Amino acid sequence: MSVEVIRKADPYVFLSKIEPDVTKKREILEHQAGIHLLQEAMSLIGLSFSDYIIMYTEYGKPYFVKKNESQDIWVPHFSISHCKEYAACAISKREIGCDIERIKRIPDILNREINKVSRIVDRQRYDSEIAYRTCLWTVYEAIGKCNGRGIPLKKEEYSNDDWADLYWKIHDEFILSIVKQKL
Amino acid sequence: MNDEKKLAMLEELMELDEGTLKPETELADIDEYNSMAKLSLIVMMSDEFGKKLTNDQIKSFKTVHDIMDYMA
Repeated sequence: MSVEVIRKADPYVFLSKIEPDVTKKREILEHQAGIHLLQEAMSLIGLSFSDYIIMYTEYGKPYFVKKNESQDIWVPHFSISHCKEYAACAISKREIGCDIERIKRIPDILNREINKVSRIVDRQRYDSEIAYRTCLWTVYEAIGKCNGRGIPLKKEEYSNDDWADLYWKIHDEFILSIVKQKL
Repeated sequence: MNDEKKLAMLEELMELDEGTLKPETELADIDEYNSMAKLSLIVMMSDEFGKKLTNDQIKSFKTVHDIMDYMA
């Protein structure tokens, strides 16, 4: 697996291409690619995937616990996202959410929802409405992942100022958004 | 609302070609039934049917027919 390092500091962000495999269902292929990327990414920042166990909250959000409680290692927060072509993962010392999406038309029916995060996204960074709206969608999803309760977002989850160090990168035809909780 | 209309609404929501969906279609087999489609479904149920669809209810849907039943 070829891993692209998008960001080398907390939040650490990594990307890998998903190789097509017609023998596997897309959902399974993307999931496996995400987990594999997480393993590789952890090794790149000096962590060992095998030192942790993945647990799930009541809302289904995955998180790490140490396999050996007495081991002197930090417990990373992580978030994985995938689209058809790429898997992305972000690792941080704080709660984090990431989402990657091909730049595409976002249905008008979602206007009310994605506009909830419009104050967070700088419209001027985008030269097209379609890219801007894709970014709104990825930020919306990333907040849902970061807070762990998913979407739709509740008012208290997007109207406060808890979302810091937000940034997004356009990788060819894709937008990757990262949302990290403030200290 | 008849079944044809419901199927057409769901096809539009998932941006599928007309005639793609059948009531017995398994949702797990539809690539386009992703988080964006699920949120669109929540909004559509609220706006068009006055129903508050929860994530737990969405998780319980297995086939297109399950959604159509909820649209009744």
